[in-house]
Amino acid sequence: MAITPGTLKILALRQLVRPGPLYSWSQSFSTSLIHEKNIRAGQVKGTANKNKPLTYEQSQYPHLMGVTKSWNSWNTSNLDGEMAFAPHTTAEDTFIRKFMLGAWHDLFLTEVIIKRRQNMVIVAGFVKRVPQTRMLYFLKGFTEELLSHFLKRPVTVEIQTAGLRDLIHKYV
Amino acid sequence: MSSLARYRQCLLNTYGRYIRLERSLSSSAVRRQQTVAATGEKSPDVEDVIIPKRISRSPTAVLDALASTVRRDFYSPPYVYIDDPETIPECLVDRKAYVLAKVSGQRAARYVMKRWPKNFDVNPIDPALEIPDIFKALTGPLAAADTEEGLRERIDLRLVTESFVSYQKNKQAGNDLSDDVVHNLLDLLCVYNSKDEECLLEEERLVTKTAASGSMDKIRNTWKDSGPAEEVFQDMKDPTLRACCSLIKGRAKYYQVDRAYELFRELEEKGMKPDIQTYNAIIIARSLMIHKAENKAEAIKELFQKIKGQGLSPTVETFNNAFVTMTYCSMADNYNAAVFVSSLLSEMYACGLEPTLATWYYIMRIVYRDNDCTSYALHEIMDHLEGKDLEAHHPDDLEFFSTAMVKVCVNLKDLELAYRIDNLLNYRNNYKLIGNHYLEGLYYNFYFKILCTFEQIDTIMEHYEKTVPYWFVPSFNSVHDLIEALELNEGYQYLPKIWTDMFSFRYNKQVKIMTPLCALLAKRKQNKSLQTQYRELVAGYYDIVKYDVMSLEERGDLDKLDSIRTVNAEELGYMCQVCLNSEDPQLARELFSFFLNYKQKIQGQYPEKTLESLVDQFIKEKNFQMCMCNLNDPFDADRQEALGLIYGLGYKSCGSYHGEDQITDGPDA
Repeated sequence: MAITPGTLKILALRQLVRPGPLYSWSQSFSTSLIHEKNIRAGQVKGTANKNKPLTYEQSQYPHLMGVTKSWNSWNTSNLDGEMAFAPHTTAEDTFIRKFMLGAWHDLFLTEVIIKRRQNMVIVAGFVKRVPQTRMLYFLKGFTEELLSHFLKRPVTVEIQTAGLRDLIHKYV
Repeated sequence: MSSLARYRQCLLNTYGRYIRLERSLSSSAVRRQQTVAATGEKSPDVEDVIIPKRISRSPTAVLDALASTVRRDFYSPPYVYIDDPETIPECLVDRKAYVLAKVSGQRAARYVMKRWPKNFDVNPIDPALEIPDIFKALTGPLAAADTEEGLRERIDLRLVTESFVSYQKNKQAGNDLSDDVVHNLLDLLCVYNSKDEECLLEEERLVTKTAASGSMDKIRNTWKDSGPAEEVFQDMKDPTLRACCSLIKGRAKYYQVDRAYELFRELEEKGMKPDIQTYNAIIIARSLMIHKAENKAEAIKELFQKIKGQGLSPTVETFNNAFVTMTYCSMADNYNAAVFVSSLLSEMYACGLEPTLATWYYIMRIVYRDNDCTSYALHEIMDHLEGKDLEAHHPDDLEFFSTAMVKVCVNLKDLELAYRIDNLLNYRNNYKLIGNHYLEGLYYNFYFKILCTFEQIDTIMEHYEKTVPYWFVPSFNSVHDLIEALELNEGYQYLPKIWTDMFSFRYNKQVKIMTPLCALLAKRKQNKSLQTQYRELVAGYYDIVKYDVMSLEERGDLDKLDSIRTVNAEELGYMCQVCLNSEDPQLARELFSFFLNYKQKIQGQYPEKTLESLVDQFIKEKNFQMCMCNLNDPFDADRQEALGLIYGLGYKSCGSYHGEDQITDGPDA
């Protein structure tokens, strides 16, 4: 009997209903589309004059995540077996975002992207072009040093500069 | 267990049968070989598989191999800078300022950590994993100061003054400290001269000028004679050999040479056997006590004999220190240090030691002490080093390349050798040894100096485009050399590139650079496309100058013109000439009237050649009004005379065509 993905699925489902140790494998695979019941969450409300600027990331609806836009946090905590650290990671990400909001006040033009590779944390994003470039360097040094010692692992800040209007994708 | 492994196990539990079936189908080839092995026969066409011997490699071997593939990229900025067009520094000031800004950010963060250490006590990573020491050092809570454990922790964290305070508290509490802790404390106090020294952060070293150990200005007795180190030493009832050696090394390091040598003599008299590091320190100390070069050499020889007598083997540092002492010899001694150096060097080889870059650096300093010296020592050094992977062992290693380039340029004036040094620098990862920005700048400034002196302009520009601006921003002198080379080799096609670079290096307000550059632009009439480019450059520059001067005038600060924009009459004249060459009399006239308006505030002499060309042009246009302006200026009497002649000629030739009334229309006529 040749094993095709179809038969695999049926057989595996049969395994699930059997008595015995259950594996939480259903979390790892999903073949159907998500059920979009609440389609208004995460969608920016338009204005009458159509003069509200949105970045590309904001203009794409949440269900397009992974299709036309990608994630703001890159880590492995949604993989099976990694659950032990998922709350830590989420809390840390929130902390980093709040920290960046305060330390880099009014500088970030996009969301803060947080990528994790091994034990390294990379904080990335687009910032405004400011007359004193030294300020960006100061903040980079400050953020890296402080967050590294807070999280006890190397943190790097990878920023790109952009003009105020460069990142506007559309007006709603 | 990863999800994939679980999935696989789940399949195997239930459907292993099918999978085995699949496997058996595909393993036919393997089975045949197994049967051969079982029967013990050997088919002729199957060769023996020779399994290579396992090579034991370091855990980082793969990383090292990967790192070795990375080459220096001339066309991207150094890693210390943020890789974005806005944030890459273009001028010398920014190169330093950005790094220092980053470092000050790091310092600010350290202040926050020191001020609120509790916030950093959390250990968000897996509690089973230990926090790396590097993160502990700043924030870790310490044991009470008046216990031995507290003292030990403070010593481990290199907290110099706090350790000494803890030592005193222990003494007051009457604690018995173990010998090991006290020795460690003494070591710490001696190494840091009993004071907390704010060490430079890693990136700060890049932009901070540090003195090499051979330089004389570093030698000052800063040892605390009745400081904590001496106190701890006095408290020891019976100082051991280790304690004595620590103190000698400490005293010698901070140039308390007399007392270091005194203690050394005491040890010798007692018949104790100091370690080799102590001898290394004493070599420096002893030589500083002696003034005459010959006696110094004698003293060093004596010390080497003693090392041999003690059955110790000298290290690279022993020899390096001996070389350093010879760099201290003054010129007046007239001692032929080179002979002693070569004997030391052969002794070094005899001991089976390989000279390091620092050794060569000291040797260069000894041999090329005199600027007239043209010894072939550097050629021999290069013969020795060429095609080698160099490694850093000592901070002075980083001085090698810059010093070598300076010596090539100043002493030897040998272009071939300069290329050899540059090739060595760019060989594999050797460029990491070029040192900080200061040494890098020194190296490239002298490299360009020698290139500009001897090389064709095309080759110079090839090197220029490779290193500028990411690795090297030319200094004032380098730009001067480059302009001279451009003038000599008639590299007019490169002028637009150089001109724009000067603006990005922010040399555009420097009269000393812009005037010769303008002179070069105006030197002769170029072909049409190049001349159009020149005209655009000049027009752009004129706009900037005009804007600056006008805004000053609006504010009524025209007297500050010199301090804000150092524009010079000569420069304006050459610009005017460029416009005349480009057959743009409109702009030329504008430039000239601009000069006339502000001539009281602008220094310098308007070039005569331009005046002559202007007169010619005005005569051609029959614009006698401007012509008169030109002449009525309070120029030197001689020039007026000369111009008067030209004017006269022009007048004669044009007078017949034009009514004389136009001349009387002139403002000063």
